[in-house]
Amino acid sequence: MNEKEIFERICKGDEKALEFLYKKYYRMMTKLVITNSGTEEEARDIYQDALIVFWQKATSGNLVLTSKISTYIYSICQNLWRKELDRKKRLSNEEKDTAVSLDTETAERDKIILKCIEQLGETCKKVLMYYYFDEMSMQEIADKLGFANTDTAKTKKYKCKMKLDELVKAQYSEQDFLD
Amino acid sequence: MALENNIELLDDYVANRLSATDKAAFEQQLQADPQLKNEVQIQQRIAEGIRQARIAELKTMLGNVPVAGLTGGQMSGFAKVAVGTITAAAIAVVGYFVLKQDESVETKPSAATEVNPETVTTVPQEAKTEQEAEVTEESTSPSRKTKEPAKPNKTNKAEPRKDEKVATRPSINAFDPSVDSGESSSKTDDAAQAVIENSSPVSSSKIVAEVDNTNKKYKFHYYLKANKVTLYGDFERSLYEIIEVFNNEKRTAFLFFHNNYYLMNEEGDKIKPLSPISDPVLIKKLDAYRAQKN
Repeated sequence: MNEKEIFERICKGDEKALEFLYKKYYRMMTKLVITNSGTEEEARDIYQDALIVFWQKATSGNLVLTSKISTYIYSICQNLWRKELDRKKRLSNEEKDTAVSLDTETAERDKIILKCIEQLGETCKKVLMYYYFDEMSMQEIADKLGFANTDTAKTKKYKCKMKLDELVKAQYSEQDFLD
Repeated sequence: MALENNIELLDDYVANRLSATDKAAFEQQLQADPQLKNEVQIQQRIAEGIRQARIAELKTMLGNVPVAGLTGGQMSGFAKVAVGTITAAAIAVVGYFVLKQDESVETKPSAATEVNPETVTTVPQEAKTEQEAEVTEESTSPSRKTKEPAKPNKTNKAEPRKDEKVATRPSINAFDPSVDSGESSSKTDDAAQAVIENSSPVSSSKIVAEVDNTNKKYKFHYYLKANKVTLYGDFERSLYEIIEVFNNEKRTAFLFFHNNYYLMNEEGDKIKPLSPISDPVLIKKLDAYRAQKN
């Protein structure tokens, strides 16, 4: 697989191509973090996050590559690791308390939403993920999930979203969502 | 404004699917409609939850991809790769001596003792790139290197350690040059055979092998360029080995896979099909190297 093929396949949401890329640059990218005072676990985490950023931009059609894929991902890794180092530094200072309390609240809310998502069927989950995260077109969603056409994909997405809304709203009052 | 009328617009907004103009218009609408604004906030949280779930799913997927760690031997697969690599390197070494022996068995039976120790470097399954080379610290001694992300050879007794291992082996003692001395080395006009006849070692050579089993067009092909070979097809299921033979700085590479040998030609700069070597003399020799090794 050459660069162009990999990129095209990733743009179409081919997860195998993402795995291929992950393997291909694993050492290069994790080394960046490890040689900059990170652990291997942190390195893996940063690399995975960077690849997912790349993936999201590619699948949503928001990425025009002007450099090699590796250069692009490398720069995302650098940015993410810099941010992480800043975050660690901040946490070691006084801002700790407020940050923690805010994080807990949001995390709790996210956890409940995640539980609701888990209650959906596999296809529903996929439709919503492809729509809201991968930002695929309805045609791509239909192709990937084997729907007859975009109308079927649209209807499916609508119904799944309604179902999720119901589940989430049953757990919360509207006020809970508003800061 | 009735919320129902805005559901689709709202959803497109939350899903980042509005054009810049529509987005701006919708945001203006939001300012004037507190009920709509509240609903957007709720929907944004839900959409964010979906995104987080997808990220978690992708991370789990990537976390399950077998890769070689840098400091810990987290993947048993990698240890197996190391075994395969050592095997391939050993074959290359033994191969050289057998070939050399064919050429000079009568005059220089102790040619093996002139050769430097062999260094084998293992790499994980990803290919090295120029950029990686910049951040890579490992270096090996100037002897011939064979790199191969091969699949496990379960019968191999070599003890794999951790990833990024560098193993040095003195290479010579195991080989008895007399074993192959009965073979005539000039029975064939096969081009590969001719290269082998005159082979000699060259330092600082390496081939990085990479497998691409996702290409629909190429099912049993290879592409050899400089120090990198891409094998197209289902090579990861069993052991494959790259064998390098050197002749006055010219390298000839062979692939051993499923009991067949394949000549890999660098000329032409294109992906080529793999066809098994049929010359019985050459096969016999290559077989002999392997038998000798194992």
